[in-house]
Amino acid sequence: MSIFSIHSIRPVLAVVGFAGALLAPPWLPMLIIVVLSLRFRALEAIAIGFFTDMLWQAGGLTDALPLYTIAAIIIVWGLEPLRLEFLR
Amino acid sequence: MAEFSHRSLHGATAGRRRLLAVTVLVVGLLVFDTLSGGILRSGVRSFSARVWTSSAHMREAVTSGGYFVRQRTLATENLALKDELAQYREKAAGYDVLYQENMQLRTMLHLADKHQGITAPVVSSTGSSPYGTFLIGAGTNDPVREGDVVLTDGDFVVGLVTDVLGRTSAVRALFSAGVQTDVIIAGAAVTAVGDGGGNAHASVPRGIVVHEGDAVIAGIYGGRAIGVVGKVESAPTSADQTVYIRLPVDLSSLRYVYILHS
Repeated sequence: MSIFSIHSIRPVLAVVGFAGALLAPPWLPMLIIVVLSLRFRALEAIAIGFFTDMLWQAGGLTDALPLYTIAAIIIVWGLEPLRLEFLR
Repeated sequence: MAEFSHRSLHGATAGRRRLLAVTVLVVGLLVFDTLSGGILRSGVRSFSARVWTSSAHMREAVTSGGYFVRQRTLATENLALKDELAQYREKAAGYDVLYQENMQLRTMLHLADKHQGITAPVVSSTGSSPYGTFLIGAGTNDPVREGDVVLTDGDFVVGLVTDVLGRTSAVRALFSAGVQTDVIIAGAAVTAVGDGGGNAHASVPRGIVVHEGDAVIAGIYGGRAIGVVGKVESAPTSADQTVYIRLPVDLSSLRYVYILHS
């Protein structure tokens, strides 16, 4: 079995997602969230969304909605039936 | 006849429980952060500022092209010369960074003479935030308050302090997408709408003569300029002309900003 299995890319994507939240344009962490959620039941996708909001959102819940966290939760949970149907 | 089958959900239960636990945890952390006045945000931003500051030399070397140029030009030379040249260039890049910082701080001095405020370093990327914000290295320990006006060294208003935490503060750029600001362009009072990336646009009546380079003034910020006219578009069928506004400084090149106490 190749060491570069589909599961070995998961931590790499997670690291790119966190680093992207810090340094890259905002679409990159969102793309990583979507890609992770498509293939995995990715807890780290929610963490990336949460990290992005903690980093960039001005004020707390009272000022604005944490859009990246909400989007990550919706995407991870929304893709759950798809993962169950097609992936192991 | 083919048999239909379905995947058993039995094995997925534990994974879904974990996912549910993380979801609840994250929501709980969001509530905790809000109630605690931003303890988590403060920690995350301090970490981010440290990463950003400590990687400044590396980013400068990469973005200024020095690294790639060095690789290309020294490909045919021997290893010893490569190392020696790399060391000189690294020192030169470091000198350039210090020189630019020095020049920016020097130009900030005239602001300090005219206005009461402080100079603060930009400690994050200015293009990574989905909310049009960036971080500065001044917080509750410094006399920075929410609503303080943030100026460039050219005295242009670049944003407002919106979140003061610990040693960092978040600044919302004035030209963040969707942010509206009442401005005066060529004597006409209009509303500028931010497009992100240091750009905005406004609709000005066609009767008003607007030239590229005209200053865009915001009365609510003491009559300071928030940008200049970059381009004017008008259609014969429209009563308005669209004026595109830009900040005359590249946001990504900002190293220091001046915080004007409100």
